[in-house]
Amino acid sequence: MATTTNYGWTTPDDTALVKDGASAIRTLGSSIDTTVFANASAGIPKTIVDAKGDLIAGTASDTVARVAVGTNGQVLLADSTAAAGVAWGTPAAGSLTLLSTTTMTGASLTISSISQSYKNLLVLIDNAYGSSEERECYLRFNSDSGNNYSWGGYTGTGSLSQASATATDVMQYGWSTNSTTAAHKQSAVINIYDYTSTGHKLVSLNSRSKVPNWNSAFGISGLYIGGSAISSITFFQGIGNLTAGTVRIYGVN
Amino acid sequence: MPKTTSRPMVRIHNAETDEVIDREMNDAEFAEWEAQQAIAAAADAAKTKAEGDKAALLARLGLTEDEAKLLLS
Repeated sequence: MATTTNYGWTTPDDTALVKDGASAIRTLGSSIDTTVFANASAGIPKTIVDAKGDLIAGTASDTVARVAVGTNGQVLLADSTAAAGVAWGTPAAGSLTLLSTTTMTGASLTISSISQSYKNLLVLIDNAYGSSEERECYLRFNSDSGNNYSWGGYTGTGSLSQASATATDVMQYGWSTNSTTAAHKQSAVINIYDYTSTGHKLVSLNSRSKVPNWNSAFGISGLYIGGSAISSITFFQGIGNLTAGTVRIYGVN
Repeated sequence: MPKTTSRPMVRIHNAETDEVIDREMNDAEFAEWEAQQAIAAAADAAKTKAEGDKAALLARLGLTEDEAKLLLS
């Protein structure tokens, strides 16, 4: 007797008599009915989800349950006390989440589509150098070239500090070096507070690099007064290209 | 034929998708970049001239820079 490939349902042979067709169809129909009925309870029905963001999680062997989406900014955490073994929760205050890691190159580097789910941003630059020496290193937010950057700072030269305060179309984050010597390369720590605010965003930063005539320690306290939340940051030098270095952006709760 | 231009390259990293694009500057970016280079070149020239003028003046007065600082302190 012939059978179907997957479920082995009985079908008429090529030599079967036509007079037995009704019986063969009835046998096949009954087999299909039995199989479909049995499988109907084996799959995960789409009705298990009720809303956007719902997840399906296992609660035990061969058992699943709906996990409703959390609220904005929450993250999914392993939780053995929850029925599904996972639960949405708010990360502890002060926790860091790495959002991006980028190698510096080119005349400018833009990191875009920065998540808006955190309170502050922490930007770390390591081992950076460029094609030119002792040039201002600048950053911009949201590609904004308006005079929306108000900042004051110092350049430490060992025995001298300089202060400046101005509103410009860029914010300086340090001085460039073209030295590949590890101890000469540029490092920077940039804190951006309330970056999702539409009001003034506070920026505090410190950087260091070694240029020919002095050890550069550079720091500022500044404001970005653009009216939009910060979703992108662009880095570039006054002259020359970014040759190397790593930029890491962290979201801070 | 391969495209040959001399415009500087820029890198854009989408932090959401992790997509990295390296491309040449567009017209607006290139125009701003050229303006920035001109400003920096002018500042360099002014700095060089000021340093030259200062050195020439000290030479005429027969003073070293430290001696001039002492007089002004």
